[in-house]
Amino acid sequence: MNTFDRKFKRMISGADGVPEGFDGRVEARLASLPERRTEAAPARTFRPMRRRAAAALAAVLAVCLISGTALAVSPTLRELLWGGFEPYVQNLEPTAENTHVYDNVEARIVSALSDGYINAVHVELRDLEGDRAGELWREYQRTGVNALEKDAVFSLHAAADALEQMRSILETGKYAGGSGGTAFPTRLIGFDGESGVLTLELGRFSAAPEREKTAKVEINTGALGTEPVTVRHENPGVRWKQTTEANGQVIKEESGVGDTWTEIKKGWVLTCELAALPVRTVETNGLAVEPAEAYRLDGGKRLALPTGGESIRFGSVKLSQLGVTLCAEAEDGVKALTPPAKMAVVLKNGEVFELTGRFRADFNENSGESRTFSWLFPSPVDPESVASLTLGGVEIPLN
Amino acid sequence: MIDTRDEFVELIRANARAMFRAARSVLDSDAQAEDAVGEAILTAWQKLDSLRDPNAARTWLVRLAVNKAIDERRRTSRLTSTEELLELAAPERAASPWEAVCALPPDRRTAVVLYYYEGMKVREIARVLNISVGTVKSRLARARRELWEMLKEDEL
Repeated sequence: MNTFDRKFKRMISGADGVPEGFDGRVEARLASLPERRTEAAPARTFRPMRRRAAAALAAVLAVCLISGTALAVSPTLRELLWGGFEPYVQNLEPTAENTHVYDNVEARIVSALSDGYINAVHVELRDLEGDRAGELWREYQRTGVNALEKDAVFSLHAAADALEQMRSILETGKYAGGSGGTAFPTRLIGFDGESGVLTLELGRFSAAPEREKTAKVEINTGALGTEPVTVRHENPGVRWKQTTEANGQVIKEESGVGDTWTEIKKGWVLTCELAALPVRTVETNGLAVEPAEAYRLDGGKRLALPTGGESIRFGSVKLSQLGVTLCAEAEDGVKALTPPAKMAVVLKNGEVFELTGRFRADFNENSGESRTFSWLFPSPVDPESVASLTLGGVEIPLN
Repeated sequence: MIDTRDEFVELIRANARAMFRAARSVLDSDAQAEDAVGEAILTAWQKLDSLRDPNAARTWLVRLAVNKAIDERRRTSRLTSTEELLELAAPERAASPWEAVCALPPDRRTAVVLYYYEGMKVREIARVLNISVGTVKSRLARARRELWEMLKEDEL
């Protein structure tokens, strides 16, 4: 047992994560079991009524989401995806810059699109010796677990150790602002059984709106052993960390001061130029929306603040095939307001669909620059086909 | 052999919390995990005859809970909202070890719960999750790094 294991086990002793009242609900479940094991199952009584109602609502939402998403499985999905982006998709030929093969798994950027606020990189993975990409896809179908995970981590199932981690990072150049963003999820777009190609979409909120030119996809490998992949050495005044491959090869080194780490050496990086998508801009002239929350940052932590009847004022809406971005007027640089997460999109043909999550660019302290909030479309949408948006009960007409 | 209702009830009482943690490691909410445990208890009762070795009861129950949770996740996976992902991405410091574990991606979360909370061996986890030993080790390795990041200001 290593040091981490000992310390972590000590931390978790006595705290088991089981919610209050759980034991009582288990007893109720046991009491409701049929006398004889072959009897029909009793009606589900374990779930409190409130949760059952929530599940019913969720089921309705699921239908709505599935009907509007590009995640349905189909052999022609790739063609459909590219069709949606045509004629903007790059469909790049493999080069030394956009392709890398590790452990007989080829990763290749086939397209990198940007509307200035949202960047989407499409990557194809192909296993040159087996069916690891197919295994991942099937696991996604079986369990619903895919790369829609924190920090857009991508793992190949089972043989796993070829590409343990893939995440999208985008070049920020010499942009001096303090803005950052939240990564969009990695989406498994589809798997072509004939060619063995798995298609992913790696999204990223632009860290420097309208200034980013190059897409990068960083590939790191994972470790086979039980030791942490990253080992930190901390001495007074000097800190550095390594990321090692299973065979011990160091693929990444960083040095740090405070919370800032500088990369000295890193794993493989695929690059290609971002292709600019056409953007439809609609001025909204300070349209006010009541915020869902307010907070300020304190040492990297979000501290909730009362919203106090304030409004977020949006100066413009940017629409592209990738999604919707609202540009807010600058706040005081300390207190940040966040709009509601759900946005309804009404198309000119009368179709309505809901976007359930938005991502924000962190505000630039004292810079006076606008803050932006973006919502990703589940599949490409013609920006000219959008008639209006509704956010927090406020309709934003776009005609 | 566990044969009577009373014996079964005692067995569940002794393992329900482990079943919950295992289910919760697959799912993103306590409510869903409790549902999965409820389903697993019923299935265990109905299929008790298939449990040949009482010493394997705990692993069997945990596996049932994990499988029910996977079913539940599959049913609801299309619902994953990007807002939830935002929330997942947000906490860089966890208030407690359990919060840190819950913030891990599901595959690593399950491996961590079975390894640290339920004390299972790597080989046992591989059997429960139907994956290779190497994959379990890999997931644990990455989870350690992430837990370290989230808890480093505490005791780690």
